[in-house]
Amino acid sequence: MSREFRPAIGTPASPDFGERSGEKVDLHIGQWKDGRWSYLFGDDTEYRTPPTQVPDIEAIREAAREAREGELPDVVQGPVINAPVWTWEVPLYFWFGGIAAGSSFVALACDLAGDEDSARVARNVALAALMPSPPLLILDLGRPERFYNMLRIFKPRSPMSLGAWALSAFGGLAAAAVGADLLGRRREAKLLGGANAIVGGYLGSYTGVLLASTAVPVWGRSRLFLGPIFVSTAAATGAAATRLALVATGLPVGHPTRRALGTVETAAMSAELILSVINERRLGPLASGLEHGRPGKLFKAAKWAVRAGLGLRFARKRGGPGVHHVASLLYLAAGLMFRYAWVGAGRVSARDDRAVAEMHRAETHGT
Amino acid sequence: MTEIAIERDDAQRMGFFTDTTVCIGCKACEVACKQWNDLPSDGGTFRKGGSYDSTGRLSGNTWRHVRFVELADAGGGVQPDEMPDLVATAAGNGSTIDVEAAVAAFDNWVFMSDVCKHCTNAGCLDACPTGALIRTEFETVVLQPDVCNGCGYCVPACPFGVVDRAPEDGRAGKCTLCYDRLEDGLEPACAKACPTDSIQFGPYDELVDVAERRVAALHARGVEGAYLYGAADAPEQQLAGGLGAFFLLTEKPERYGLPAQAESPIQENVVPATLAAMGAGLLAAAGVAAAFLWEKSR
Amino acid sequence: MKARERGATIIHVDPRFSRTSAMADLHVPIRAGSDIAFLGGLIRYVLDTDSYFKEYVLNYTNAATLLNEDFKGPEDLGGFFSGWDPESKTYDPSTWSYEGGAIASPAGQREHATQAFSEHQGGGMMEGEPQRDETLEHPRTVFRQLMRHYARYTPEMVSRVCGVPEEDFLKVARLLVENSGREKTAMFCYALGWTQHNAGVQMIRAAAILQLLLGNMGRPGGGIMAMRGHASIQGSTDIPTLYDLLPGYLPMPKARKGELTLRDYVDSNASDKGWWSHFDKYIVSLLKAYFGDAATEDNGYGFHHLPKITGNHSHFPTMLRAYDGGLDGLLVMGQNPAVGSIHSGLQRRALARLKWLVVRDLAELETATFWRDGPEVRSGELRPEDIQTEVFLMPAASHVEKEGHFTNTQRLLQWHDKAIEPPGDARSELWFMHHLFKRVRRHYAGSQSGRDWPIVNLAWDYPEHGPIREPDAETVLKEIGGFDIATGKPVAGFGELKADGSTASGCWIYAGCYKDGVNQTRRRDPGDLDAEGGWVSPEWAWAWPANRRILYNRASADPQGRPWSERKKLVWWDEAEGKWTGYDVPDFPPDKPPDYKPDKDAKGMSALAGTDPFIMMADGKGWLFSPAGLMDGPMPTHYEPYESPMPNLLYPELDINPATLTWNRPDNPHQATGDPRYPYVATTFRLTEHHTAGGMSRWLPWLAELQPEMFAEIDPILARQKGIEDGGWMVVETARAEIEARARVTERMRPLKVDGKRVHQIALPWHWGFGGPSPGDSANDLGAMSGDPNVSIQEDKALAVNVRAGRRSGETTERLKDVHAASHAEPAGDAPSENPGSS
Ligand SMILES: Nc1nc2c(c(=O)[nH]1)N[C@H]1C(S)=C(S)[C@@H](COP(=O)(O)OP(=O)(O)OC[C@H]3O[C@@H](n4cnc5c(=O)[nH]c(N)nc54)[C@H](O)[C@@H]3O)O[C@H]1N2
Ligand SMILES: Nc1nc2c(c(=O)[nH]1)N[C@H]1C(S)=C(S)[C@@H](COP(=O)(O)OP(=O)(O)OC[C@H]3O[C@@H](n4cnc5c(=O)[nH]c(N)nc54)[C@H](O)[C@@H]3O)O[C@H]1N2
Ligand code: SF4
Ligand code: SF4
Ligand code: SF4
Ligand code: SF4
Ligand code: SF4
Ligand SMILES: [Mo]
Repeated sequence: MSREFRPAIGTPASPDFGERSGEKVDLHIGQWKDGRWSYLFGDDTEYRTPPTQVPDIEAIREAAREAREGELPDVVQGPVINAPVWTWEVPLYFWFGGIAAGSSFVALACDLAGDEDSARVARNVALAALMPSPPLLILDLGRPERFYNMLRIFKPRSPMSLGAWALSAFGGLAAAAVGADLLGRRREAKLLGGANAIVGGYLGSYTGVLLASTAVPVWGRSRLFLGPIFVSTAAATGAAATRLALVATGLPVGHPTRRALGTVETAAMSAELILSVINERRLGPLASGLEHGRPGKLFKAAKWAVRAGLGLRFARKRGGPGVHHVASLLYLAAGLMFRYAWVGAGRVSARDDRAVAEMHRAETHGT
Repeated sequence: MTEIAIERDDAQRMGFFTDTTVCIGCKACEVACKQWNDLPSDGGTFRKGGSYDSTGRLSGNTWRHVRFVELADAGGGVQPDEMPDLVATAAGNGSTIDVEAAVAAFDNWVFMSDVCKHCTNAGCLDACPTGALIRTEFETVVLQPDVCNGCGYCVPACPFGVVDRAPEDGRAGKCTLCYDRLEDGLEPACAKACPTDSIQFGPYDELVDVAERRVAALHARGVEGAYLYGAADAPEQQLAGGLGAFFLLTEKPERYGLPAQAESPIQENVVPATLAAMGAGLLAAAGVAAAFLWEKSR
Repeated sequence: MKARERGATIIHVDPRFSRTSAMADLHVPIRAGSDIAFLGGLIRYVLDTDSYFKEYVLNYTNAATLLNEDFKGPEDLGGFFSGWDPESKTYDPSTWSYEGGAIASPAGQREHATQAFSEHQGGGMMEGEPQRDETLEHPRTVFRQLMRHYARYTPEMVSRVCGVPEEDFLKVARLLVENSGREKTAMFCYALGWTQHNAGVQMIRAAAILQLLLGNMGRPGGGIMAMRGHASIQGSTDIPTLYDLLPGYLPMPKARKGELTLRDYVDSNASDKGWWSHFDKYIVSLLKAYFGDAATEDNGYGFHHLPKITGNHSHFPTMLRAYDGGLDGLLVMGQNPAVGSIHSGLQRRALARLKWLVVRDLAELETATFWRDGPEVRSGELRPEDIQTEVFLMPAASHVEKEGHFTNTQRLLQWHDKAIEPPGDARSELWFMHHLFKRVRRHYAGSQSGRDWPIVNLAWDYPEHGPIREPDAETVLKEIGGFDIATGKPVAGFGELKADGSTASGCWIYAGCYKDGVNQTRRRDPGDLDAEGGWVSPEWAWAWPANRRILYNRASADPQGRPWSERKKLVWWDEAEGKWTGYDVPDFPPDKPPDYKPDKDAKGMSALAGTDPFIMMADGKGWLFSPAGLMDGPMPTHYEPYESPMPNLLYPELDINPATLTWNRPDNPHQATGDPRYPYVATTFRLTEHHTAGGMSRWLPWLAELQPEMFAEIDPILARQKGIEDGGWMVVETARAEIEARARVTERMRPLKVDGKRVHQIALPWHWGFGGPSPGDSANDLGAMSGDPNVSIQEDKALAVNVRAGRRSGETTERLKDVHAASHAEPAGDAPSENPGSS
C-alpha cells in the first residue's frame, strides 16, 4: 500500500539564476562562512590528524582500491542506476525512423540502379515513415510543449542532440525530395534523396549509439553491436516496407528492384540475427535484460520471426510471391519487436542491480 | 570547452565531502533539501527489509537520499525462508545451529547520505540535448528546470542513478548543489541541516585535504576499511574524472548502491559506438547498392 | 558524536538496536523494565571491586552517615522497606532517616513529591546532627547498608533478570570504572527508557548513586543527563504546568482544615539549614509578581488567595474524573492525549463526557476529532450525535511565529525571535492567555467579593504591539527574572530577592536572566572555544541558576579546593584571593573556604561545611541513600513492571513495586504477572522522523513519507514462529486493546535469554493515531493506567503483550466496549474513583 501525500507546497523551485538576493537580508553571512565553521570537528577532536602529520596518499588510494577491486560483495543494495523512463513511443519511433532511413538507402540504390520510379516510391515511403516520428518523440517528452528546445543547441557530444538535428534534416530533405518529385524535378529529387540517404545513415544508426552511450549494462556493453544491429534493422525494415509499397504500386514479380529488395531484407535481417546472437552470448550475465521479462519474450519472438521469415524466403519457390510478402511482413514485425525488446531490456537491465554492479567491477571496460 | 558552462574568474570548485562514519541516519538533510527546493513528497510506501528507508532512492523529487545499510550476514533484512534453522532451534526441534550467533550476525547499521556527485565527467551533462544541464562557475552540474523538456536522456546517462524524471512534473530533477544559495554565499541546505557535519561543504581542494586526513585518522584508529570514494584517486582509478561530491565509506561501494567504477557513458561509448554504427551504415549502404547493381546486372 | 570523536567510549543499553546503537561502541540489549537490576548490579560491582572514588565518596556523600536503628530493607522484609502500611498502601518514611539527624518529611503538606526537585524538597528539612563513621565500618552506615542491599545483584543475577550475558555486563562495568576517577569522568544519558516506568524515579536514583560512588557528579563530563523531550519541557517544570508546584519548585499549598497562612506555609517548607532557609524570599517575591501593589505584608501578600490542592490532580485522576462525569471542561494546549496518553481508549471516552473542550494546536489532531472518527465511534460504541462535548479548535502559532525562550535540558534559557507572522487566526499561547484573561477580568470589574480578589488584583498590564496586539514577551521575561519594585531595576540574581515585599520575581531560579536590563537569554556569543575552559561558553544564552552551567560544581575540586585533576578542572579555591573561582560560576558560597567548619547552631547556608558541595541537600552531601523525599523506598530496588511475563527473581514475594499508583477498575483491567495470554515484552519508542503524538509530523508530507505507516519491530525467530511476514500485517494485543501494524522483521531486535528462557521483545513506535494524512493504530491503546508513586508518570516502556499475524478483528478498543457501555448506564457521579494502592 502506498499513501498519497500531496506535494508539500507548490512545485519544484528553479534556482534563481544570476540573481543575488541574500545580501539584502539581515544577518546575511556570505562567503559560505556558515558552512566552514564546524563545532563538531574542531582541532580538539580526532577528526583531523594533527596537521604536522601528512597523510600517506598511497595508503589512502590503496584503501580505495581494496574496496573497489575484486569480487562483488554478497549484497548489492540497489538501485545503482535509475531505469530509463522512455515509454512505448520511443521504440515505435525507432522503428519508423529505421524504416525511413532504410527506405532512403533504397531510394538512393534505386536511383543508382536507374529505377527512378521505384526511387520515387521509396522516397515517399521514407517521408511517410518519418511523419509519425516527431509526434511520437514529442509525446514521449515530459514537457511536450517544450519540444523545440531540442534544437536550442547543437551538441555533437550528445547523440540525442545530433539525432534531433538529423531527424529535422532528414525530414526537411525527405519532404523536399518528395516535393521535387511532385513538381517533376527529377534531378533535384535525386540529389535531395541522395543527401537524405547520407543523413539516413546517421538516423538509422544513431539510435543504437544513443542507447549504447548510457550506463545501462545491456546497452552500454553492446556499444559496438548496437549501431550495426540498428542499422541492419533499419535497412531490413526499410527494404521490406519499400518492397511492399512497390508491390502495392504494381511492380511486377521478378523486377530486379523487387528481387534486390528481397535480397537486402534477407541479408540485413540475417545480419541482425547473427549480430544479436553473438552479442547476447558475449554479454553473458549482463544480457539479463534481453532474457527476462517481457523484453526477453519479445526478443525471443523477434528472433523466431526472423527465422520464420528466412524460412519462408526459401519456401517461396513453392509458395509464390504471397509467401514472400508474409516474410516481409514478418521482418517488419520482427523489427518492431526488436525495437521494443531493446528499449525494454534497458529497463530490466538497469533494475538488475547485480548486473549493473558487475559491469563496473569487470576489470576492463571492454567492447 | 565541450560543455555549456558559466565562467567566472574568481569562482572555485565547490563540493561536498560526505563522511558516512558520522552519519546518524536522521534524514534531516533529505527533508531540508525537499523544503529548500520545494519538492513534493514521493508518497509513503512501507518498504520491506527491516530498514527505516522509505524513500528508497534518489529521484526527480528526492535529491538527497539517506541510505540505510543493514549489515546482517545476508544483508538487507531477513527473507523468511532464510532462517528455517533458527526457527527450528527456537521451537526446540533439535537443530544444532547457534541461534544467538545467527541472530547476532547482525553486525551494524550504516547510513549514507547520497546525492548527485557533480562529476568532472558528467554523463548527464554530456547527454542533455537541450542544454538544460550546465556546468556552473563552481564546477557543479546544474539542471535548469526552465529549459529541460523532459527528454529523459540524462536518466540512463548517469552512472550513479542520480537524475530522474519526476513523473508528475515531467522534467528531470537533481541536486543543484544549491546553486541559488551558493550565489548568495550560503552553504547548501542539506549541509546546513546536518547535525553531525556528516555532510561537509566547501572548496573542493580544502575538502579533499580534510578527507585525506580523516581517512588517515580513521586508519590510525583501527578503522581499516575507511576509504574515499571519488576523490584522491590515481588518475586511472578516478570515478567519472573525480567527483565534486565525494564520500568516505567503510563498506564496499555496492553496499551503498554505488558502482565500483564509473565514467561518463557518453565519453566512454559515443566514439566507438558511432564508429561502429557509421561503419555498419556505410557497409549497409554499400550492400544495398551492391544488391541492386547485382540484381540489375543479372 | 563530538564526544566519540574526542575518544569517548559510548555504551548503549537498550532493548532495540537503534540508530543510536549504530553510533555506539557497545550495544547491550536489555529486557525492558529491568534496568534497576542492571544498575544495581553495577553498584554492587563498584562496591565489590573496591572501585569507588574513595576520597569523593567519603567527603561528598552520605556514605559515612549512620542510619536509624529502625530502618529495615527488602533483604529483611521480603521486598518491602520498613514503614509499609498495607492499609493505605503507602510508606511511612520516618524510619528511613539518619541516626540523630531527623529528616522531617514533608508528608502531610504535599500530596507527593514531584519530578525533578523532590529531593531538594525533602532535603531541606533537617534537624539535629547526624552521626558519621568515617571508617565506613559501622554496619549502619549508608555505605554498609548499600552493600548489603545490593549484595544479591550479582552478574549472574543481572544476566538472569535482564537477559544480558554476564560477559557483556562485566564489560560495561569495567568500562564504566575505567572511565571514572580523577582523570576521567563518565556520564549517563537517559530519557524515557528509564523514566516511563513505575519505578522511573528510582531508576534515576540508581544512576545517581552509581555516579556518586564513581565521583562523577558536579564534574565536567559527568552527571546524569535527562534528555528532556519537548522544546522547553524543562521550562515547563521550572515554571510548571504541574498541579503540585509553583514556579521554581515551590510546593503548591495543600488545603487543610483551618486557615493556612503564609507563615505556616513558609515554616513547613523552609529549613533551618542549607539552601531552603531562603524559602520566604522566593515565595514573597513570587506573590509580589502575581499581585503587585495589592500584595502587602498585611494581607500575607495575597497568599491565601492562591488555589490549594486537595488530592492527586495529575493527568490520570483528572481524566478519570472526566470519565466519571465529574469534569465540565478542559483546555488542551499543545497536547494530544487521544494518542499520547496511555490507555488512550479510556482517554478518548473521557473526552466524550466533557461539556466543552478547547484544543489549541497546529493541526486538527485526534484530540479534537475523537468524536467524529475515533475508533470508539467507528465501532459504533459512541455516536457523534450522543457526544455532548462541544469542541473548540483554535489554531496555534508555532515557535517560529512568536517570540519567547526555550529552557533546554541543560537549564539553558535561549531566546528566539519571531521569524514570521502567524497565518490567519493562529495566535501564540501568550496572546491567548493574555486576551482571555483580559476578557475574563472585564466580567469581574469592580467586584468586592473576596473570592474575586485574585482576578481583580492580578498584576496584568503587559504592553501589546503589532496588528494582532501581541503581548510583549520580553516584558514577561523581565518580570520572571525579578526586579526591585521601587526602582524597576532588574535584579542581578536570586541573592537580591527579599522577603519584605520590595522585590518581585515570577520564578526565583530564573532571577537574573534580565540582569542589567539586558535579555541575557538572547546572548549568542560562544566565546573562544579553544581557550582554556572556553567550552563553558558563559556568554551563550543564560543558565539557571545564576548562569551556572554545571550544578554542584564544588565537587569538581577535592576537599582542599584543588581540582581533582588538571584535565577535569572546572572550579577551584583561589587561596590568594580567598574565593572560589574557575571556568564556571561556582555553585558554592564564593568566599566559604574549603576548611570552613560550621558551628553547632549555625543556620542557613553557614550550617554547611566547606566540603559540602551538594548545597541543596540539608546535609550538603550527595545522597547514596535518600532519607526523605521518596514515596517508594530510600534505595532503588528491582521490581517487575506493572504487567510483566516474568516473576520477580530478586524478591520472589513481591513482583510489583508495592507503592505503584494504580486504578483498578473494570475499564482499566490489569494483567497479572506471568499471565500466559501475554507472554511477550513490548516497549514503545520514538522515531527520528516523527514527533510524539504526531501533530507536528504526521501532517507534514515531508516527514510522513519517511515513516508512512505504523509498524512493529520483531525478531525473525518470533516472526517465523508466528507466521508473521516482513512488511505484512500483525496484531499486538493486551487486555485493553488490539492494534494492527506492519511487521518490521529485523535482526536489530534480538530475543534475550532471561532466566534460561527465551524472551521475545516487540518494539512499537507510538506516533500514530487515527487522524491526519498518515493514520495508524496507537500503541497507547494497549497500555494500562498506572503511575510511578513519586511523579505519577505512566508506564509505557514495558508491557506484556501477545502478537499474531494478520489484521485486527474489530476496532482497536472494541474489547472493552461492554465494560464502557455498562459504565455509561450508571455514571459514577462525583465520587472519587481512584484507588491508590497496588493490586
Ligand atoms: N524525532 C523526535 N525527537 C524527539 C521526540 C520525538 O517524538 N521525535 N520526542 C521528544 C520527547 S517528548 C522526549 S521525552 C524525548 C524522548 O527521547 P527518548 O527517551 O530517547 O525516546 P524513546 O525513543 O521513547 O525511548 C528511548 C529508548 O528507550 C528504549 N527502551 C524502552 N524500554 C526500555 C527499558 O526498559 N530500558 C532501557 N534501558 N531502554 C528502554 C527504547 O527502545 C528506545 O530506544 O525525545 C524528544 N525528541
Ligand atoms: N507509549 C508511549 N506513550 C508516550 C511516550 C512514550 O514514549 N511511549 N512518551 C510520552 C512523552 S515523553 C510525552 S512528552 C508525551 C507527549 O504527548 P503529547 O504532549 O500528548 O503529544 P504531542 O504530540 O507532543 O503534543 C504536542 C502538540 O502541540 C502542538 N504544538 C506545537 N507547537 C505548539 C504551540 O506553539 N502551541 C500550541 N498550542 N500547540 C503546539 C503540536 O502540533 C502537537 O500536536 O507522550 C507520552 N506518551
Ligand atoms: S552524471 Fe549523475 S552524478 Fe554525475 S553530475 Fe550527472 S547526475 Fe550527477
Ligand atoms: S531530461 Fe532535461 S535535463 Fe535531462 S537530458 Fe533531457 S532536457 Fe536535459
Ligand atoms: S545541495 Fe541543495 S539541492 Fe543538493 S541535495 Fe543539498 S539541499 Fe538538495
Ligand atoms: S547526512 Fe547528516 S543530516 Fe543526513 S542523515 Fe546523515 S547525519 Fe542526518
Ligand atoms: S534539538 Fe537537535 S535533535 Fe532535536 S530536532 Fe533540533 S537538531 Fe534535532
Ligand atoms: Mo517527553
